Amino acid sequence: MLTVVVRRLLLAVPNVILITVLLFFAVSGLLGSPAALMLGEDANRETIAELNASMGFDRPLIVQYLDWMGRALQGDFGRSYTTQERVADAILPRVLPTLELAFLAILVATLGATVLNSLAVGRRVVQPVIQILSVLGITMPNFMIGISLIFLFSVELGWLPSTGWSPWSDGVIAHFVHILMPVLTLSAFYFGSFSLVYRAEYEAVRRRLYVQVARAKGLSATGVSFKHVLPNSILPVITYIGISLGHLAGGAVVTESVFSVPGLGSLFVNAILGRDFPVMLAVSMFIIVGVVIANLLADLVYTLVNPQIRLD
Amino acid sequence: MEDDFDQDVLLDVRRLSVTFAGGVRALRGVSFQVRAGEVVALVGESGSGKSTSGLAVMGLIERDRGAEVSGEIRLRGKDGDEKEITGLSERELRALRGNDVAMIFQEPMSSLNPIYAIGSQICEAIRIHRSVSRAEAARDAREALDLLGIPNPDRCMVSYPHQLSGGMRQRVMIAMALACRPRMLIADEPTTALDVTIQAQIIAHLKRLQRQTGMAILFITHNLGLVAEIADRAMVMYAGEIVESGPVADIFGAPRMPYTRALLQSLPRLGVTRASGTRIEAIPGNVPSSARWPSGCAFHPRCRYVVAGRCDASEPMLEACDTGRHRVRCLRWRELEKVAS
Amino acid sequence: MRLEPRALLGWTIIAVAGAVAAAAPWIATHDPTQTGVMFLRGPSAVHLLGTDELGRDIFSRLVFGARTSLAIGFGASIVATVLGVPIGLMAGYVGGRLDLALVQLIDLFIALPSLVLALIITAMVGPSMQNLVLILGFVMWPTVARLVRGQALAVRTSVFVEAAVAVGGTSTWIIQRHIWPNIRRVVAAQFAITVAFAIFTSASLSFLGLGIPPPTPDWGGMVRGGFSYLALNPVMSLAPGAAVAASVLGFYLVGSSGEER
Repeated sequence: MLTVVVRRLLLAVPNVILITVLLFFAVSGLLGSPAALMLGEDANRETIAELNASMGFDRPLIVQYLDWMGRALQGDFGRSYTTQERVADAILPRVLPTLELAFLAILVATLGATVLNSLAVGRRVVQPVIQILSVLGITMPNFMIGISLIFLFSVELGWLPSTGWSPWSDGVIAHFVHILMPVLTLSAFYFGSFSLVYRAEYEAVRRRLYVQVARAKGLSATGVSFKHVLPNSILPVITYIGISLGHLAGGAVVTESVFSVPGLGSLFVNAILGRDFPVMLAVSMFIIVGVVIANLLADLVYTLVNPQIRLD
Repeated sequence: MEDDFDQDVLLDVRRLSVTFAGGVRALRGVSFQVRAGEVVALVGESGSGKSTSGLAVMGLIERDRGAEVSGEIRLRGKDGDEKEITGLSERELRALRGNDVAMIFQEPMSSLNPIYAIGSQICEAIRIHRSVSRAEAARDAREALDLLGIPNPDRCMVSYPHQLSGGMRQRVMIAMALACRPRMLIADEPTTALDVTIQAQIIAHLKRLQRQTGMAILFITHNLGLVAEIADRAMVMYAGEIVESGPVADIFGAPRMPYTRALLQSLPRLGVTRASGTRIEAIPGNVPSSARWPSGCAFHPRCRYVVAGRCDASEPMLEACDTGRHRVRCLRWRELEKVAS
Repeated sequence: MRLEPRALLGWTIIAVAGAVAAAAPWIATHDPTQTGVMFLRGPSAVHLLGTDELGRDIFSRLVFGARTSLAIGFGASIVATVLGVPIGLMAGYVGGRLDLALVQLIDLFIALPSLVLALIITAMVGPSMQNLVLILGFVMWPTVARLVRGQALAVRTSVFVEAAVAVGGTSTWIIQRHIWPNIRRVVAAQFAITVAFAIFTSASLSFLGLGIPPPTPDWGGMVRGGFSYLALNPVMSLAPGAAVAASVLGFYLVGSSGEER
């Protein structure tokens, strides 16, 4: 068990390093001279070279990378080109909203997919409806879901605030009123894909003999569903959560932009549109490394709940 | 005749018919009784309806999927009350399953839920029917494992199914079935998936536990060798009907129904108990399908003693022969007595 | 060949989208880039879906937008297939260390957020049609490669390929004669799904402001433009949004029903 954990952790380290290297080289290489960007197009060549030298951009990329990494590990990601704010200060308050949004979306999607599908199996009307919803959830782009929800619940019905964010300190109800539509928007894709994965597995598990054994013990149909079928069918969903985290990050970026959620995603989009190199680099590192770590966590959860792997 | 043992009849099945969705008639008016402490074998090829009979007694025929059940299944519970299983609600059935009547299945490899430890799966069976603490349930579960001769019951309790061998899993299944001390056990081919030596051990355990607890066993099998070894009485099924029934000695010594004879002839040596998986395959042809059901006797297309105009014209009834405990469903059994012997 | 309803719906959507894209100049009622003085009008006889904030005809922009979306979708899918199939075949067929290294690479890429990656690269190189096709193809090849690798591995270890190796078939011959025919259908199904998600991702990029630059009509960009006027003229963003969703659905349905057969 412990060796499995250690092995996965050790495997993740080179991956993370490789990703940061690729990202740093790609961003720096493709961007060209940061000084030219900062000074604007009409700056003369000497000034640019001077600034490049003073900021260390004339050094080889590998040196710049090691320098950046060394500072980053100490929490120093440089300063934003546009606001001159320390990048770490810009990022930190935005981590929690994104994490909360992602976590709630996964939770809603998992609960929705497992519970609805467990209840719907074999029902003539409900099952096709859930199936159609699943396919729509997978194929509707986040921005379309978000805008449709805003149009319906904010513009037409006026029930929910269209965009914006209300921190926990302003009250729990206000907080959830604001986060409701973003969570629904982000969870749609996962609801859809988890539904497909879960339903296929549920059908297969339902035919296993231990399910009949459980009924022969005298367990109720609901008890059998939730105690024996569900826990076995949910294993592939956990694997799928891990695989789909990359997609989740992309979805969060779009969703945060639609609803103006002050998270990492909207910070990232603003940095990209404003060509704010240090912020862009730091946020993308955060997102990508976060995805790799979360992927690892999903793997570990799978290992923990599956005795066949846990005990080998 | 039936009045003789009416008092200690535990299971009384009358004219039980089961038709599955799509028109498959799995059982066609089956009647039999099992007395307390008796071991009765239900023998037949696959598709003969023997497993369906077991599931029907458990109330596990899924009516919500279009299966139709008619007839009566009377079971005397542990409290002494008689219950009619086909008329019970799902809630009443749940109270009965595992408690008054338990079942073990053919595939021990897939009978246990892979994600729960053995102990918790047995405790679940106990705690469904008895309001006892977890500790008490665990103690009883451990005792049940001990009873099955499992070497290290404490370790087995915390093991997961994939860590146990097939034979060990089937012992666990038996321990689980007996955890609530039912008076009736349905064993559906419990040793078919196991190899020969393990098979003998499991049968030995079942016999010993049966003697110790005095429970009745309905032993479903296609293996006649096992019937001689474990059962007091045997019932031979063919195409959803009982075609011959009686004490094991009568069935093996003086089979009346041509089908039973064919089954016995497919055994290497008559009357000799064999532990190995003796398969029934020597009879030409197949069990009839619902779509092309033969007229008259259901066995006549495969019968070597078939008489045209008679066997395909009228349906035989199950009638008493010899001692009266021996019954046979054949139009020609009187004539054939001379032919065969 | 009998089509199941899902596939039939998918093919219908694709056929309609394809026809609209091909016949755009004849279907459109206006020049899609022609601005006018009638801003943000609702649907009328002249402007079927009304006008946007620059007075351009929304219906005509929608019709021409089909060209952009389909071109990017197909282009990216071709790039992803051209990259993914050989790499997957190599990993699955050659096996050994090469397989191990390629699988590591593929898994790494699959775990990465493709939209985030596409955003970064697009921001660097600029959002032209050609760049978008290459970028989206580049972020999507690993899925294709993994699928092909799995199939190639399964076919390679099957009896008839072992038999072909035994009688001395060359690798190229075995891949051509035995492996490719077996995985062709899966690759075709994945092609459709890749088109779906390329349209999905490119529309998301456009929505975030990194799409085909204006004034070229582009669905994602139209949604972005109309979002600010959602209360005034909802059609402006909902119609192109629905067009994106429908196209993605069409290709997804065709791809996913092809996979199962």
